[in-house]
Amino acid sequence: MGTYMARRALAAVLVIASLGVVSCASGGAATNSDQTPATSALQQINPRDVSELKKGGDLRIPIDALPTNYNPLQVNGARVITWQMAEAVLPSAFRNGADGGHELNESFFSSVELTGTDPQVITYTINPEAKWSNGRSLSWEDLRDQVAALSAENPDFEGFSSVGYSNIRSVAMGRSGQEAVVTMAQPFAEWQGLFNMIIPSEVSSDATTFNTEWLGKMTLTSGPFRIGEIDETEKTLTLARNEEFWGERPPLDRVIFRVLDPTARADELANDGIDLYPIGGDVDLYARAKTIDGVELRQAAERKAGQLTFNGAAGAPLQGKDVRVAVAQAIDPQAITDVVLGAIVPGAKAVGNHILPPTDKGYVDNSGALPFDPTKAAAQLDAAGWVDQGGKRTKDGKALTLRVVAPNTPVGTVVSQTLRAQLEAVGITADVATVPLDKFYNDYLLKGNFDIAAFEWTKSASPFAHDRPVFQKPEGDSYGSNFGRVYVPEIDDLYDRGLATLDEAEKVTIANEIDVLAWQNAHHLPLYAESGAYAVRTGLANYGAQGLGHYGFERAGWLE
Amino acid sequence: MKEAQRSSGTAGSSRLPGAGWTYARSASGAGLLLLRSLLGRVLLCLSATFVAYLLACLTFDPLAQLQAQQPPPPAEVVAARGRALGLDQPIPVRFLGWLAGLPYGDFGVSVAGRALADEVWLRAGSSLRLFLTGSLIAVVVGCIIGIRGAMNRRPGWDQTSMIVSLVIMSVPVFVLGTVLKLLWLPVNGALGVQILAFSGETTAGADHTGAAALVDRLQHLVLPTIAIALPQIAYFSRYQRAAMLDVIDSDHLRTARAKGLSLRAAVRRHGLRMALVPTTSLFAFSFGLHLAGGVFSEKVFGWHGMGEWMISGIQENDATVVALVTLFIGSVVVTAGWLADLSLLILDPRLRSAG
Repeated sequence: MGTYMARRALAAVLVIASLGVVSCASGGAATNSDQTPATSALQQINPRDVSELKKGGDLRIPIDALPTNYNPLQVNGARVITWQMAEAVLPSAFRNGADGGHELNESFFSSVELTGTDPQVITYTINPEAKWSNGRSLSWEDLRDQVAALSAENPDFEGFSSVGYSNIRSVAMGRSGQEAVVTMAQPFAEWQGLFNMIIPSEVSSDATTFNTEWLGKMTLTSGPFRIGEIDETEKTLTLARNEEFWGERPPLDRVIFRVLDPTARADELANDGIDLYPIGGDVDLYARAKTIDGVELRQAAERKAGQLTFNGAAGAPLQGKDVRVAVAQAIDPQAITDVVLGAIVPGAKAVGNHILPPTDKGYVDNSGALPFDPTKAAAQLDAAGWVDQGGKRTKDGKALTLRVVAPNTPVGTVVSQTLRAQLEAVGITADVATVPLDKFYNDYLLKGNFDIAAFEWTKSASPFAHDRPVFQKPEGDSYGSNFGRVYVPEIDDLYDRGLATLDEAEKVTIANEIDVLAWQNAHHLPLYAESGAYAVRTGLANYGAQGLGHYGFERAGWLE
Repeated sequence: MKEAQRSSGTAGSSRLPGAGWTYARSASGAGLLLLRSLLGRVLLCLSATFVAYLLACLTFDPLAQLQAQQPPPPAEVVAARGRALGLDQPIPVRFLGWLAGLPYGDFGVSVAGRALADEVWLRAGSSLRLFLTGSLIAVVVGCIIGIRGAMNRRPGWDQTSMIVSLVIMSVPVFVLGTVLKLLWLPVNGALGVQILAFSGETTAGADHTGAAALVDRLQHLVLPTIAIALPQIAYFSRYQRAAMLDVIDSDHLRTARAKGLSLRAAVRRHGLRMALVPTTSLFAFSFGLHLAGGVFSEKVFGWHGMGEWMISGIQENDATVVALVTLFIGSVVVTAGWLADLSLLILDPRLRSAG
């Protein structure tokens, strides 16, 4: 099928939160089962043919919290864990491929094709075997009601996002109830990102049920697994194999998600209480994983990436492009990457693209547009009137002091301290504040209360639709996700073009053009890709470090 | 003294045979004292809850997390969530509305809109199961060690026990918990069976019933109980030892010994009850504080109690959760303090006649 965007991305991406929040991994297709982490691997999931795996067994995964609202499309339900578990129990049209592309989810759709371009028409042919847990076949009405719920036309629906769905003019029944014809009002380049999670019409047809029916539970499912048990005391969510599933029998009997604090996970893995844990940027968890018998490290870069957002709002020290570019050139992303990831992923390279993750097939390292160059940075600061006086940059008797804000996580602390040293090397004083994660968003990022903010973005397989708010034109209180309020009109124009083109190659070209402009204007500065490292029990197959790919619970299992 | 002893446990009654006017007056006085103390504590508890709610509302922004989502949700959706949470109403109105629901079992909703009533009882149950066992063991063992230490004073032993106690008290519970797990890991490894589990209350996914379920729970309870009890044992033993020494040196115990009683007999008959008085109050309040500050024990051992809920409530910017946990802990402290008052009345006859 097409190249490009997909699903988990939109999912994971939903919550930018998370220098602290951890999701868990898995795999689907696969390429590399080597036990040593290697940055080049798209996935490390110990890929095996399903027929080689033991029939039965549990997979126990630690998570941070149970979902509150199990509707992944409701605004409070759009969390990493909800989307992770929903992959096993809800239909989708496309799933993320390991290379950043899309894979048709054939369990639910026999084909999804672009059948018209003016207007854009997409025809969804539903697998006739696909059924909800109440016995009803998946039908075009599920798609129709989902569009009505997410298009933002009815404000009673608390949808997580209207991106793409608000472009839809109509959803009509095709030749049968198992064919849906979706006609767009405006072209939407990333159409494969639509219906990347589908909820039943019983839930999406009414605003109240959409908003509240799945609080603390799921009443209908469809897929290789079903909801087994939700234990609110132990905070475990058990997915049980769906005996009614029409596709290949999944090897696992159950997938058990357990809420477990990261500090307790290594001991629990050693004591056979869980089967894997995400390492992220935690060197302690990495070191501990290496000492546990029967456990190996699997690593593949994910979409989550650390970056620095510059505040270009009126009156801020970094409002002017010249000073912002100079400051960006004084910062060495590779040195920060080495400090954050060096121990866990030796040789990890700094991210060279604002839009596409390094393992995406469209990725180009465009960092040459704004390379680390402290000499040039110093010259530019001089030219902007910030002259070096006794090791400090001053202008009109005032020192150049930048407020650096980061979450008080280990990674946030390391990044901000390294940054301080780099800025001081060119005479800029860094006033560093590391603050609790919740305060970071409320009191600093959303309020523009920073000069440089260090945090992580989760990128999407739908980069245009997903990332546009990051570059949105700030108007009053409306600034989308453009927390730094740096606006580049040319980038806006490219987004208009990118969102309207249906040509895959052209989309990649435009994405890279946007990226070059983002570098040149020092909109924000990409740093490192999250390690994507996991400590995984050796006998686990088809799961581990899924990289950009989907989780693939239906193929995961244990070696005999 | 005999009459005082007989009256113990019957402080609320005024119709006991043989109880004269003085006793009846003191019993009703004690009842009033207890009632007054309870009312004061309830008011204090509600005030603390309001202050916690107020501070939380003033500093939290429950919509920030939604606004920080990427891509951002439609502005109308965020506004609708704000209205649903009552953010357009004054804080005291919100608080009173929430308070009014409590008697009917309506504990409010979380920022994600889910009713909190079930969660309160589940969390409270977890906290009490985790801390009650450890605290009770600690107070019993600590008192025994303290009393024995006071009665058998040996310089070398005293100093050693004090140093050991101080070391144990100084170790944070998350370090102690982790050390216990690391020490036990080789045992489980060597046996190839999880004799003791490291986290949770029960084995995830196991379908135990009857005796097997009980054994499973015990396997999960041992390590956290040790981790919670050890520092408290050290604490109570030191405190009880000092209290016992005070009593041993008191006039009435000297008198008892002068009458020919051995130290052991004098302590058993006259000293023990006096020496337990301060520890009773201490236990009541320390139990409440442990529940409040138990977040590290809960995190290390994967239990999902009130401490963890408070932290997640703060992370989620959920003022209702913060108020609810404050109210719970306040209620436990109030109840424990009130029971301590009651126990003191039973243990200390002087208080009864003071009514």
